Amino acid sequence: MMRIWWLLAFFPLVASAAAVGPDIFHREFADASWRPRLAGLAIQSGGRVKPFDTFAREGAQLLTGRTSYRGLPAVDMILSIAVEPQRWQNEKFLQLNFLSLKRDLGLDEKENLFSPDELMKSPRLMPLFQDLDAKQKAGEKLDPYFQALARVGSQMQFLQEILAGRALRLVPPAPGKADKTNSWLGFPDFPQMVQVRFALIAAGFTSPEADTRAKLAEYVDKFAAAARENNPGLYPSARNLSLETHFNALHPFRWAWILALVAAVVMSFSIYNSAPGLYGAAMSLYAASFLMQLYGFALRCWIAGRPPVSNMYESVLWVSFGCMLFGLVLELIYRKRVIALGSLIFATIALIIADNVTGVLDDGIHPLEPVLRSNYWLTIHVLTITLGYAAFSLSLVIGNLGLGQLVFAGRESKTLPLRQLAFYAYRAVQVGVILLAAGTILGGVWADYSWGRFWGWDPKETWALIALLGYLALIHARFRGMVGPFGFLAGCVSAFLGVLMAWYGVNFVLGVGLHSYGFSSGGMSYVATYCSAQLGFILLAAWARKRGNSRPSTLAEV
Amino acid sequence: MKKALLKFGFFVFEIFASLELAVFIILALAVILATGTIFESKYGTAVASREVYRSIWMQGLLWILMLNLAAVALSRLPWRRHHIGFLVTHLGIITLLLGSWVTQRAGVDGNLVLAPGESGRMARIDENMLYVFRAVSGKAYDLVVSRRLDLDPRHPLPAPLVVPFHDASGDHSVTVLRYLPRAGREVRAEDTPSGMPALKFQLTGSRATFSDWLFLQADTGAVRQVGPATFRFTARRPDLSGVAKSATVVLYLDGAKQLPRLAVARAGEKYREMGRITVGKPLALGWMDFQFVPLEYHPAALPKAEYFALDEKAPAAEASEVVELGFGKENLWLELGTSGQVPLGDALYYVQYTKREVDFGFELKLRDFHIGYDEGTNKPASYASDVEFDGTKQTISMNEPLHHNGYTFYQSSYESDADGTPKYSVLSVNLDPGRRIKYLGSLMIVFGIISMFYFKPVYSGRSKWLASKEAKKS
Repeated sequence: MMRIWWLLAFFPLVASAAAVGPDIFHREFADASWRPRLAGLAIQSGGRVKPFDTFAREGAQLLTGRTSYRGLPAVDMILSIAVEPQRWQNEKFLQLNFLSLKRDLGLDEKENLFSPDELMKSPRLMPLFQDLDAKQKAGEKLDPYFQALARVGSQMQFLQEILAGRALRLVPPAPGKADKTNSWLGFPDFPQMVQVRFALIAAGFTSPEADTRAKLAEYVDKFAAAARENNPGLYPSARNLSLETHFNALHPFRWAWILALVAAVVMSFSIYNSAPGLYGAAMSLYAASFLMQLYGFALRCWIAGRPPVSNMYESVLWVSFGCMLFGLVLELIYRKRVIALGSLIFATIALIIADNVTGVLDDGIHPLEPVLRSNYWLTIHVLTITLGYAAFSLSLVIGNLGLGQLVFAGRESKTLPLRQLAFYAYRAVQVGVILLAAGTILGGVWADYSWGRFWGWDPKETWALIALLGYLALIHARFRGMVGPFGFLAGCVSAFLGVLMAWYGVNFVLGVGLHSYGFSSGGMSYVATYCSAQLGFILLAAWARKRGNSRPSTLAEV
Repeated sequence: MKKALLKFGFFVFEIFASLELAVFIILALAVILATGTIFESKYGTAVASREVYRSIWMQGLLWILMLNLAAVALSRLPWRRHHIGFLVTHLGIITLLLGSWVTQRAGVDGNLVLAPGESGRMARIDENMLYVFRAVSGKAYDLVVSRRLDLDPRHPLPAPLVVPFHDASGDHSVTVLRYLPRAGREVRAEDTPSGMPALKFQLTGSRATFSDWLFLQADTGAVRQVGPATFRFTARRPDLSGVAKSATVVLYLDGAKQLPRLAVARAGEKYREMGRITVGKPLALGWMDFQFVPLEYHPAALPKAEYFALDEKAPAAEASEVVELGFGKENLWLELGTSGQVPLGDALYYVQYTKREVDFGFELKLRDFHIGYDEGTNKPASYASDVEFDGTKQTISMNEPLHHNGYTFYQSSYESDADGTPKYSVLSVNLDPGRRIKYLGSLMIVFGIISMFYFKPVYSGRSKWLASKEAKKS
C-alpha cells in the first residue's frame, strides 16, 4: 500500500516543512479562502458522498468528541493528520472518558484526552481489543466499558485509514471502472496526476514559506477540477455540496434552542408583567425558533433526500418541533402564555440535549436501513407517532408546570388555576391520543405491507400501545371523575414515562425486536435519573397540595 | 326469584359496563404487555409470545375487554347522534380484536428459505410438532398423532408428558421424557450381535486434533471427510493401485475377528500399506506431523447418539433442540427436524419431531437472489429475489411482496455462509384472513376518536368534573 509519505518524499519543501515549519496551531494563512474550497470537496464515506467539511467534522467528533480541536477547525485538523501525521503522534487529541478503561490502560485518570502514542504504548490495549472482537463476533451486547473500548478501536482505525490515505475517497471511479458498490478511489488508487495534485495541497498546507501557503487555494481548485474530471457524471453539483456546508456552518438547530431559550425567558417575564410588548416579543422569538427549525428540517431533508425519521437524534428534533407546533396552535387559541412557555421549555431542553449529547444521539446523516427505504407508510407512521409523542410532551410540561406551581408558588395570584392547566393538558393529550392511535395503527399497516403481519407484538409497537393505554386510562379516569385536575396533571407526567420507554427505552434498554435499525446505547443513567426525579416531584407536589389543602385560603381552586 | 335473577343480571351488566372496569383492564393490559417485552428481552420472542401474548391470561383479558366494550355500548341505549363517535370507536376496537382473533385462528405466518435454483411449496411455521404415523402397508401410512409440542426452554420438563392415541391396534401412548432446547451430541458404539464393526480414531498433529467414529455399513462402508482429508472404512480390500485424488486413509477388513488394515495416500500420490492397526498405537501418516490413533474398536456395534445439555457459552451451531421419547419399550432421541422408527406389536411406527409446515398450494422457484450495497461500503442497502411460479416470473424485494393464491410472500432477509456470501433468500409466507376485518376496525377507531374529540360532545352524561365547572360558571 502506497503511503502519502512515500509520495511526499519527492517534494523537498514538504519534507523539510515537516521538521522546521510552524506547527499547525501557529501556522498562518494569508489567504484563508482555501478552507471553504477544501471543505466543499466531495468525499465518499459512510455510504454516501458528502462534502469534505462533513467528513472532517464527523472525524473530529469521533477523535476528540468535538468538531474542533484547540481552536483548529475540523477541516484543518483532518488534513493535517493526513499529511503531517508525525505532528499528531504525541498530541493529546483522542477522547476517552470511561474511568475504569483509563485505569486498565494505565492512563492518567484525570485526563480525558490522550495521544496515539500513549494509547498504543499500553500493553493491555491489544488483549482488550481481542476480547472486544470475540464479543462482537458472538453478537453480544456491549456494556459501557466495551462500548468505550470500541470507540477507541474506531478512533485507531479511522487514524490508520487516514494515514494510509484509504479514507480519503475524494475521486469518483472512472466511467465503466466502478466496482459493485461504486466505491470512490482513496489516495493510493488516485490516477497519478490526481495524486500529484493532492501532494501539492499537502505541500501548500505544510510549507514553512508563507508564499507557498498562499497558493493553497489554487492547489485545492486544481485538485477539485482533476477529481471531477475523472468522472463528471458521478461528481455531485457544487450547489448540493455547498448546501450541506451551509447547513454545517449555520447549525440551525443550535440557533433554534438559543432562540427558544431567550423566548422562554421573555415569556416567563410576560406572565408576571402584562405589558403587551413583552408577550409580542416572546411570541416573535417563538416564531423565529420555530422557523429556524423548519429551515433546518428543510435543509436536512434536502441533503439526506428523505424525511427525518431514521434515528433517535432526528426524532428528538422532530418531537421538539411538534411540541412547538402544538404549543403554538393551542397558544393562539387560548392565549394563556403558559402553554407557549411549556412548549418552549420542552423544546429548549430537548434541542440542547440533541445538540450536546452527541455520543448518544448521533447527528450524522446516514443512509437508511433497507427496510426503511422508499416506503411511504413508514414515513407516515413514524412521523405520526412521533408527533403524538410531541403532543404528550406538551402535556408533560404543562403537567409539570402545574405541579411546580403547587410546590413553589402555592398562593401566587398570577398563576393559573390547576383546573385550567389540566384542561390545556387534556387538549394536548387528546391530540396525542389521536396521533398515537393512528400512528400505531399505521405502523400495523406498514408492518403488514413490509413484514407480512399487522401486529406481531414487536417491542416497539407493543410499547407504543402501552404508552397509548396509559393515556387512555387517564382519559377514562377523568371522564368518570376518578381523577381531578391534580390527578390528571400528575397522570400526564407519569404517563409520559411510557412514551419515554417506547421512544428511548425499547431501542436503548431492551434492544430486541424488528426495529433494530434504531438500536443504540448510552444515556441510560440519565434517563433513569430523570424518571425517578419526575416521580419524586409528583410525590412532592402531592405533599405540597395536601399541606396546602389543610390550610385555609390556599389554592381554593384545587 | 325471576326478579332477583334479573336484578343480579343488571348488577353484572353494570359491572361490565363500568368505566372503573375499563380503567382496570387498560392498566392491567399495560402491565401485562410491559412484562411481555421484558420477557422477550430476557428469554426471546418465542417464550414471550407463549407465556404472555398468547397466554390464557391475555386471551381472557381481551375477551373481558370485548364484553366491557360491548356492555358500555349497550348501556348507552337508546343511541343518539352524539353517541356516534363513541360507538364507532368502541365497536372499532371490538372489530379489531375479532379480526386479530380470526388471524390467529386461521392465519399462516411462516418462512420459506431457498437457495438460488431451489423451489418449495411448504411454508415452515415456528411451531414444533410431534407426528406419529402408523405404517399400514409398505406404501400407506395413517397419521395417528399430530400434536403441537412447544415446550418451555427455560425449564426442564416438570413431568413426563404423555400423549395417548388410539389406532386400529388399540390404545397406545408416546411419552416425552426429556426436552433439551440446547443439546450437544455425543456418539458412542453400543455392542450388539446384530451390529457391524466400528472404529473410533483420533487424528493428532501440532495444528489440529480431532476424533470421530467410523461405523461400517454393509453396503456402503463408511466415509468421513475431515477438512481436506478423507477417511474410508470398507469391508474388504479396495483397489489401491491408482492415485488418490485427495489425502486419503483407507481402513479395510481382510478376515473375521481381526482389526482392519490401513493404507494411506497423499493427494495425487499412490497408496502406502501400513499394516494392521493396533488400538492405542499411533501411526505417522506422512501428512505433515499428523498421526492416526485408533482409540476403540468394536467388531459388532451400532451407533448410539447421546444428548446432553450444552452450557450457554457453547456456539449456537453446536446446539440442537432434542426430545427424548418413550414409545412402547423403546426410548429414542429425536433432534428437531428428524424422525425415527419404532416397532410396536406387529406394526411399524414413524415418529417425527419437526417444525409445522403448511402447503401453500404451488411450486415457488427461486431463480436468483441479489443484493445492492450502500455506495462504497459492504452494508446491504436492498435485497431482492427473482422467483418463478406457474410459469410467471416476478421479483420480490423489500417492501414489494408477491401475492398469489391468497398467500403473500415478502422478502424478509437472507442468510449468508461463513465468509459473508449470501446463500439463502428468506421469504416470509403469509395468509391473513382477518386482514380486512382488522383494517375496518382500525378505520373505525381512528374516525371514531376524531369525531369524538373534535366534532361532538361525547358522552350522554357529562363528567362530574366538567359538570361542576359549568355549575360554578353559572
